Amino acid sequence: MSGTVVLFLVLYYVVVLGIGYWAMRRGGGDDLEGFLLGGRQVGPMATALTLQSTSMSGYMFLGAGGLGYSQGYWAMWFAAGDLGSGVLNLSVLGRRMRKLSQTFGALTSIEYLEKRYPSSAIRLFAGTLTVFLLGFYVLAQMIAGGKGMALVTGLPYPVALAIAVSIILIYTFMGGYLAVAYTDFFQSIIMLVGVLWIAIAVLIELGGLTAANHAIVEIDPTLLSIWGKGLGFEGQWGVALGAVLIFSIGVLGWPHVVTRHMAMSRPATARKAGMWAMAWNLLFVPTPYLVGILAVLILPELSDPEMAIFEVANLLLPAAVTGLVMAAIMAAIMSTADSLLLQTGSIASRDLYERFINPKASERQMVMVSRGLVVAIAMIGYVVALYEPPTVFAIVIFATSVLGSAFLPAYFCAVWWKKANTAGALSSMIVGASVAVGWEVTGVVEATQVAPMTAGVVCSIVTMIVVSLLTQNISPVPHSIIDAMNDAQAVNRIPEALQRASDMSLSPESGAINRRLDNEDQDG
Amino acid sequence: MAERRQVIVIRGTISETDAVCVVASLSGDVGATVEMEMIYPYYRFDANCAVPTMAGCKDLSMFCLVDAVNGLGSTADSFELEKESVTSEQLLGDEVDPDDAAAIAVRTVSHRLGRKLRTIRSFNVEVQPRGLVYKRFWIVKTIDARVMVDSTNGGLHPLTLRAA
Repeated sequence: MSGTVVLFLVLYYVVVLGIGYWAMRRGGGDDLEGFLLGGRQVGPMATALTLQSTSMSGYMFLGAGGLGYSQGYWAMWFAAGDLGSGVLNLSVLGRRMRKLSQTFGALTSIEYLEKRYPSSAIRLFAGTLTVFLLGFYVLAQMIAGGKGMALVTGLPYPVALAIAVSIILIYTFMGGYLAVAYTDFFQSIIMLVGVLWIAIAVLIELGGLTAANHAIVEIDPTLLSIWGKGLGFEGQWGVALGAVLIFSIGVLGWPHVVTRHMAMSRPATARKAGMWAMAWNLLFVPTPYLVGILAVLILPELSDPEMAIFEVANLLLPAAVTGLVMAAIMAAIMSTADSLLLQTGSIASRDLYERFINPKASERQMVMVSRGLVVAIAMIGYVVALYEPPTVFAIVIFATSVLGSAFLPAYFCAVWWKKANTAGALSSMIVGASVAVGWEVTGVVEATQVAPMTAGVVCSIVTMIVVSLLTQNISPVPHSIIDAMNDAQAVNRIPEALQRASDMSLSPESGAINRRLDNEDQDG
Repeated sequence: MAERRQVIVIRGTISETDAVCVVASLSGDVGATVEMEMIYPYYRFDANCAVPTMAGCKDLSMFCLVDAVNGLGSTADSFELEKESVTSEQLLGDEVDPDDAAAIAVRTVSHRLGRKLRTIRSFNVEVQPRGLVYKRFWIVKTIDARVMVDSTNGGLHPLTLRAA
């Protein structure tokens, strides 16, 4: 690997760390809300791009490319789901969750669930499950980072992995949501430029898409079908549906992604952010899958399909451009890793340690627990990634399937269904997670041809509806929560100039005054 | 006849007329009027600490207010207080335990200072409880909405439409 490539990589890290430091100094960490949610002052474009880069990154350059390489156009089922994920997420949850989270005074996505479904059991279960699964997800990013670094620098995998993990750790210790959001913003632009550059180079090399497709027919015509290599998934609509669902509605249940709604500068930010997300997705999402598919023609004997995009870039692009692309790939991986580590540390310290183990914890203890957990997760991840690395694709699909199955109905109904109560939410989380894990572990997928995500989401939705309706008398939704939901629902009818001028830091006070005024109105 | 109480209120800089003007100009409703005032409770603390920084130890003192209804803490600039007689209809009751409020104040101050000054190690914060203080919010009603206006800085927030 040339020195130019490494130089670009180093330069890139310096720029990203500089942005992170600038964002920190800008005031993103002045108080707890500033540290965890950037003071709720993130604008539409940054919201859209941090949401997208957090929910994709490492997977898109390794898993997506590998899937396209090994299964052909079948991989586009996943791209189809991803295309509309941002706009769907922001439209369905964005505005209402932004408003509700501030009214509740919630700083993490798990704390938000407990405030909406008042029960310590909700926080205990959701917090534990999230920390466990996000830990897995971080592992995937580490493996991706290690593989990428090994290729870029030519170092042995263990050394490259250690460097990648160290950089992720340092970056995360810089901390603060605002730093993460603005570095994500920058990285997502570089990711887009990088992946489009590779795609254009591949298409030029192969003489265009039509010529490339003709060439694929010569190798294996089934790669062009929607049912995968050798028609291995023929007629399996359940699996195809799961592939679409996992990255479309599944994202609605990912705690580290829905946190982005809570950090928006105002509820109306969601609409503009949705447009930015859609525009970015249209250009970015299908491209890594396509490069993976076409890589079959350029590197037919590739031993590790997940390296398809790296190897193609390395082969086709000049050193300077390769450096830029490699830096983009590495940064994309790490942008997700720092978000995941920040969320894991926040949830573990605030939602588990402070809430259940040591409610009187001092600031020092909170920080120590949070950082200790970040280091522990990174170390465990390093060992697993070193000695028994599963594929990035397998980890991401497993973690996201379980997260989506467990939390999708809880987050959705939190803003849309006033009858969704604590019993319904807790049951749906337990059932959704159990079904998704059970489906995966017991191999029911092959027997039923239904993806774990599909089964998990359907079961958790049904559970939420049935249990909530059956337990309305014994576990009613508190009036204060229904009031807050009405408030969140009605926000659009308030004159726009008033909304723009609103001081959102007064939301907790407004919630309390609302309740008081409503009680007075009801009394007479 | 509503019961009256003597309470300590943070002196406001935004009058009833100012509040109406701000809301009327933003909403376009010249008929906006102040419907009532709400007196909102906060626990007040004086915080003192010696903060270790790269340039040595800094002795700092500041005010901290903890929302006595929702339990959210924030640091505050200095403010003037005055005694006032208010009715029970205007007054919101405190719902947060004073001991819990003190713990929240410690956490709020140490986090804010720790992040702002980039301290090199942890430090102890001592807070002195100074009892409840109240802040006045003007509730302004327009044709479309009900809006609360903070009498200390003019910050405003729409209330629910059901209440409007």
